[in-house]
Amino acid sequence: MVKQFLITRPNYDKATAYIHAFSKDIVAAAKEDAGIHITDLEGTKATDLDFEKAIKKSRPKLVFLNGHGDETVVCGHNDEPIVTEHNVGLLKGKIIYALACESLAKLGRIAVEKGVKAYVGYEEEFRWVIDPSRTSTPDKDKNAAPFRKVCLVLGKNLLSGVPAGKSIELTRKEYKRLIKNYGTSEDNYGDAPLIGLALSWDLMFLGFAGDKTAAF
Amino acid sequence: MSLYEEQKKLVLARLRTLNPEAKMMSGKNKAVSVKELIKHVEEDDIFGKKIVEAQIKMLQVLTGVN
Repeated sequence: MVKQFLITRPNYDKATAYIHAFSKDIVAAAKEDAGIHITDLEGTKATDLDFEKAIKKSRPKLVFLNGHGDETVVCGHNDEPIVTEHNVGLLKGKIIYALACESLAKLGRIAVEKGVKAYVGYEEEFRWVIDPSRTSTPDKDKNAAPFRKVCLVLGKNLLSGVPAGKSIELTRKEYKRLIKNYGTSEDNYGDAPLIGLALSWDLMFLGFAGDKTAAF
Repeated sequence: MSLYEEQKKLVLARLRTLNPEAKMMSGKNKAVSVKELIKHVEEDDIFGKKIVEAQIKMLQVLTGVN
């Protein structure tokens, strides 16, 4: 039986351009897997209306939300709220991974109270380091590469059916491996220690609410 | 000197070795430079305290404590 997966990935400003770039490997992995059907709400398709339609039509078991956020909302295209406490009930029974600032702090907890199986996300702002000369081409920004890597590790684990709790554990291991790499490397431009600090920040605030055994 | 004050001193010493113009981006579209990070830590605001915590966490990972 084909498993249904839905992803939102707006791309309209500097931050969403990076997060969109981070999502590309996950989308490619899902497309390569014959056992997975992906509904990809990319760019301008990441709207409240299209999201609710897609949730009702494809009934995905796994949902990745990429975009701006805060404690109470995850946004789609042009800062349009697509998940709030008012519609989070739509996600009942699903596993959610939100690459959006702070949403685990409140929205994730509310989501679980309203029946979401597991909500993986960040309690604080998600941070990464940029190369100012590469901001128009995030795919080529080497400073952002380790952050793309951890997003892929988390996404691929969830996609391949690893339970939420174990996926978090494996992602934390990857964060630590990368921190060790960057924290001990020579870098004449001084960016490696800052990358280590940002990875450490994200490691501190990655977490989940709900059932740690929930799996896709 | 409290443990936190000692940690803060250590973190400031490390941050001052970095390129002051290097920037950390956030999902809220707010880029913060190393120079600004130092200011937050010096001023001991909420963000500065979290930066101290993150830098200490990094040192713990590097030394195998955590």
